Amino acid sequence: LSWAGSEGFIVVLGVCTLATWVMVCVAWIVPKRLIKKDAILLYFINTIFVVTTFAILTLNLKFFTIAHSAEIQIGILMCHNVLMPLSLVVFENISLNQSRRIRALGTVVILVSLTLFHKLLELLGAIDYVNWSMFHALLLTAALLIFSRLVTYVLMTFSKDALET
Amino acid sequence: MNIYGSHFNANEYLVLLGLLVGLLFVVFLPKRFSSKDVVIYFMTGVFSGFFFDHMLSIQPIKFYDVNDTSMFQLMDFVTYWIYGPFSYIYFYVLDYLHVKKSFIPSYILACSLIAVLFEGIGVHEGVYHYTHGYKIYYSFGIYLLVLSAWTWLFYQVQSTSANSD
Repeated sequence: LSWAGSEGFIVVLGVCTLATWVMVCVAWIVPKRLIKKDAILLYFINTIFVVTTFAILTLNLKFFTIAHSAEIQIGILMCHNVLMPLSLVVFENISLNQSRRIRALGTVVILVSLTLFHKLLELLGAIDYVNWSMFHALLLTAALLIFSRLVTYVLMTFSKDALET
Repeated sequence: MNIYGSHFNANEYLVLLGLLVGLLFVVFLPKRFSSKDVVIYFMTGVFSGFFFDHMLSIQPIKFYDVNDTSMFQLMDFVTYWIYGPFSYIYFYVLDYLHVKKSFIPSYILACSLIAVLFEGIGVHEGVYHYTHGYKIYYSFGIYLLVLSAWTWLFYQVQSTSANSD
């Protein structure tokens, strides 16, 4: 099901734009448990982590390659700089919910949807798995969620200490 | 892959020196912001470095390489942290001078020129290697946009701080 030619590239750009737009809407709608400053910091730190991780995986380790097309590169850029870091912020807003069921459901939904999105990009020909599989994508997504959880924990501890002092 | 050097020389020294001097400014300037605001203002620059570097490095038209090779190296990672002290000092001076809204465009313009000057030093010492006909004055436009976004963010954070006080 690999898409070839410039039409396929535009499809990838469209898919990435739509997914990013949906995530922006979700981030807008989801009840905010993080304070504004923590959310901004978390977004910054997650973006740095996502961009660095994907640069190492693609440029240095060459676990998967990204197609040399401006449309696809712009699409991937949107995913790495907006979609993924923002989905991690949404994940944190859900994780801070009181209900254990909502927390578990939110984690599974974000974990599965990000992994499937990665696979979708492969099916559309935007990325080519070299030494990579869907299982690796799942592990990577889980690592991103754990990293985000740790950063949030540090930020909230930092906020609590600041309030106490 | 482009290789511009393999030794620890001028570009690495400049990056480390720049980061050290910048961090000294951040640490020793009299306190004006809360700890969390300091982290936000510092990370704004680091985030912008990563964000825009990956935006301008879109294949197949990659506008510049950073440091010794076109691959992602540890020193590249360190390079983006130089933007942290720059953004912190930008916000610090903006707050210190109580720049009036009518003078903000002039302030952004002046700081963009300073940023271009620093980038010029980086190009001269081999931190940045332009490709595909990229010119330093293209960066000037990018700095204008980035610093305008920073200024907007500054007032957002300040209003959040004022509301929480």
